[in-house]
Amino acid sequence: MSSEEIRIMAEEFKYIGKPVQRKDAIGKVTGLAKYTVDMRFPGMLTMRFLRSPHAHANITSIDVSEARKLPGVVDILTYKDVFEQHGYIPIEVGGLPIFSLLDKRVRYVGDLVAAVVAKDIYSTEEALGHIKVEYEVLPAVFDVDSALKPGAPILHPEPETRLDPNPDLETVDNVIPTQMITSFNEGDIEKGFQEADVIIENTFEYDAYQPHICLEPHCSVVVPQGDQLTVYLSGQSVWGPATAYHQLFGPKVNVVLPISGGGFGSKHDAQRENCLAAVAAKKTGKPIANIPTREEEYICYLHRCGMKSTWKLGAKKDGTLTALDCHNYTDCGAYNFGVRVACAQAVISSEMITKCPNQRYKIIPVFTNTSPGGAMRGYGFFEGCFALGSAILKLDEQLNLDPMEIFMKNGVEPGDTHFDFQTGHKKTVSTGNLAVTLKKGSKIFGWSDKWKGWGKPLSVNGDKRTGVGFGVCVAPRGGMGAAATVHLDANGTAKISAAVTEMGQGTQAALCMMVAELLKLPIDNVNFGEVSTSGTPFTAVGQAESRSMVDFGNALSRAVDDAKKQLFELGAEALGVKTEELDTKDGIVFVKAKPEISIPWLFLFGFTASCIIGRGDNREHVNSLKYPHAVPSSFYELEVDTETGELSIPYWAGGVDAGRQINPYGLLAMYEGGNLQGQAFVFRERLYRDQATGKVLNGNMIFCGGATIFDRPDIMEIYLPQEEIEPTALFGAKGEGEGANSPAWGLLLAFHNATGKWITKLPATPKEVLELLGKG
Amino acid sequence: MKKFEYINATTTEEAVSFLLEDRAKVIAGGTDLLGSLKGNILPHYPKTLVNIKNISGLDYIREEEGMLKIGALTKLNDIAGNETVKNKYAALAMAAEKTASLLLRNMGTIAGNICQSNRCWYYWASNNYFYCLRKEGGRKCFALNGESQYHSIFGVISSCAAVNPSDTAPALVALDARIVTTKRTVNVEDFFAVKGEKSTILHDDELVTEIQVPEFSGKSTFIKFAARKTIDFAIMDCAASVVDGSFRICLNAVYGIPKRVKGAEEAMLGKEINEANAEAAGEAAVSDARALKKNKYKINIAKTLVKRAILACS
Repeated sequence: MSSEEIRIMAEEFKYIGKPVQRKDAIGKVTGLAKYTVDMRFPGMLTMRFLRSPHAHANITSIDVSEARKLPGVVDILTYKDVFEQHGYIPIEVGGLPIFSLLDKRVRYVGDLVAAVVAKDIYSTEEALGHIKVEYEVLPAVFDVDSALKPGAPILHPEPETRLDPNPDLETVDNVIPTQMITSFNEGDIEKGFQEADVIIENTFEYDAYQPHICLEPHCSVVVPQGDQLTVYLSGQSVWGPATAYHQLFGPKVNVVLPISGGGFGSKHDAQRENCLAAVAAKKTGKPIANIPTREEEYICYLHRCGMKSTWKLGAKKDGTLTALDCHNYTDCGAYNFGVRVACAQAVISSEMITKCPNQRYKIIPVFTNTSPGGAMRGYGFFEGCFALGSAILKLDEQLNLDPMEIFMKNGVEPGDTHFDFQTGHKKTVSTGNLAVTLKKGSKIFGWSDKWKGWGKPLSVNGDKRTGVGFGVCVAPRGGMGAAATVHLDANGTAKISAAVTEMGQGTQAALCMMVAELLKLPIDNVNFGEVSTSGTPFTAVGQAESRSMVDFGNALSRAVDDAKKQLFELGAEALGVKTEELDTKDGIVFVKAKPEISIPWLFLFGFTASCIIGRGDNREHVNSLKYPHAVPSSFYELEVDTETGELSIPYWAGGVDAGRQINPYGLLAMYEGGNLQGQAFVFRERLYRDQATGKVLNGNMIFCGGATIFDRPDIMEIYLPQEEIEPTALFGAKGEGEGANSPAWGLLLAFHNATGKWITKLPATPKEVLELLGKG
Repeated sequence: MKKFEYINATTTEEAVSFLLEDRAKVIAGGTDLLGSLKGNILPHYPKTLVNIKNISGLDYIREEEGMLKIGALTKLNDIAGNETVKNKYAALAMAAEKTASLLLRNMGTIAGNICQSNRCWYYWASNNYFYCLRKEGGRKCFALNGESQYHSIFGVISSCAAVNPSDTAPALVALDARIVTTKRTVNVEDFFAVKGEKSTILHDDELVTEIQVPEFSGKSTFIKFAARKTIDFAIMDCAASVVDGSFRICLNAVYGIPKRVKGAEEAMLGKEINEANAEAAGEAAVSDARALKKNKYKINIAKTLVKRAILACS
């Protein structure tokens, strides 16, 4: 952080920490905002897909001749048209060639078989029924254990899609090839267990396959103009999807991300369907819309992976941890959409207890014949927190300690180190203190009065028993590359160019506030430019892992410094002073000591049509060895109806150490919403599959809806544990995002407190609750 | 969705004449039908939709001839908010109020709500993926050996384990309502006395025109148990009414049709409404229940809801 920024921080802020209305708010609430799904172009065609009825099969013949003749049908694509021309496509920058757009082999019920392009939706759907396909049905595997058995059918034997191309197919299995580290050891795990007074092993199953339920589906509209393509994409990353488009067509593709109706991790990639829309647009020369149905969105456009996480812990009688051993299996479904990261993120949840000297981790991401899993809010972190949180609580219970004891004793604090799965390096925690956060939350919630002991509920009222619990996690923030520019325009405005999408989370709004503060401009004078490959500097990773506030904040800080340098050089020349004597406010450069000596930007560089563009990046923080941690926490009163299995939350107090608040409205809403989502994971949300066919049964909003405002806790209270200024981030802001849902594992403690039973599998619907209580 | 013809009927007679044609379906609020068209789950895709929303004189709530009369096209929200219904026929107002969401209650009609199809996941799988016995020529119930957690706990009807999902139907059973159609007037229980391939006894060319609830001076209540606090179809409903110590109790989403639990009613005959008696009645309600592979928990919920509904009538 430059001395200039620190000086600004010492002053009274004009915008930072103040409630500022977001520029996108009015358009969104009035329905006038234009999303990708709203895009219309003359002559626009529509696309629909024929999808596989089989979980695993080879297409032995496919005949589209009859369907082609139907009125309104323009084109039909099959693997014959697509694979030979385009081969395997990577989904991420520098990534492996993962999939073909249309393949001869189908790998889950719902996998792509053919794409129909027609003038309207009715014609596409009619045509789907007239495509004749014959399949050679292959044996399928629907879970990790079956997929790893010797002799199991192999989903991806093609050497081109393997990390280590091996023509000897006999040695290929269903473990996903990954460039990441798949195991990590620290200290001496055997010695650690020998030193332990108590050893406990806990397996947590996350069989949820939870959908994202973005309000806007993962759609695209592709507009060809000559050999140029413009892709309007509902996404959360612009350069990531561009990788696939550029692989297909070279650089003559502009990927544009209008505001997006939610991402939650599902929209990092273009997806095969959207790539096929581009292939068809190129081929037909017509604009093409791919708007998935809600069922497709649930089943074919990613969901939270299944996970089976085993944690073995060893501890001394006083709760000092001596050993931590973790095996984590992730069911990634039929394709690898970066889910190996989810598998690794799950074990990174152990950053909450950094003090354990002996640690061992193994991650095993696995292909199965189920619909593809992907990132979902927390990217495995959520699941890992559940498993580890439960394991620690059980250890506390066995040692008859207070449930907070092990967390307090072993919890992360600044200066602690932890390994990084991406690089294998040890990293130092810059800010983030588990004990401080828990103490603050305990006080607000009244924990010491409400905790009556293990299995002793807070109250019993007829069939209803109320228990208390807390959950906490430690979420690393930032550390990936980010680039940004700030244009100063002579009319006293600034515009930001950065690959930061607006998908509801409000990062653009927060970054505008930061730049307005740094340049002392009215907030209305700072705008965010179009998010597109033609309009933003290259940035490999998009809005992932709640990193944007830290990484793009830092890049913008450098960009503003660079712009100011150029501005003051011009100002020094015009006013006959030294650059360090100058400051700027409201689009006027002035001498600090004598503010009456000043010159507006317009006169300074407007009439010479000069251009001031500050550029900045985040390079000094990329793979930095010191990085911030946010600490989200939640305290719950959970009411269990022991006769119906209904769970409800009379009172919730939650808080997050997110560093300095930038936009308090946004922070509170993010935390509230995240908690509600976490609660919904625990209580309800799951995609169920027919065990005979592998078909997802409840993939729609009627059978598997998201939490509504009526499902919120009766009383909600949000606290900020501390406003600790993060030294490695602009204005000390760590931001908030995914971590908000992860402390929901506190509900498991509250459930145990109310009933004496542990939930070890999510979600816990009334069925599972009553079964646990011996009534189902 | 595929193409279909859309015809506006202006009278019930006109509507019925259109319905006689091949592959015609009636549409009022459309909240049930449109989903089935989008998902393409009807074995024969309709050629024609006959819109009855514009038929005048079918949207009313009035008391006359010693009964409450509700026109078939009356919106659920109007029933939920009607003072007479709320005061005298509470179970019905509560059931209408608990159905779906506000937006759907403004579209959905009372007749549509009692005529709706089941919500079995297998039946609703798009493009008839599971060609089950509810579809013409289908021979198998896939839920029996599949995901049966939301299915019947009182056995199958013609081998189908799906349940009736209507919230208002059990309230109407508890209130001993009658259903008037273009062809006949039947007791509500007879209206649902079907063999399994359909949800009601209605013929293809028959429309519900009115719901009649006899003058009611007792107490009634309705409990909905669902996964979320709004919108969702019920995991289970229970409606109960009591007049002069005589109960009518009906569960729904437990069987192919609304399930009147006479055992519980008999258990309460002449008994004081208290915890112990209500508990015993709850047990009696599920004495003939038998769980499928994944829904034993529903039996506990059923007995609990019956007990709570009885206690709420005190």
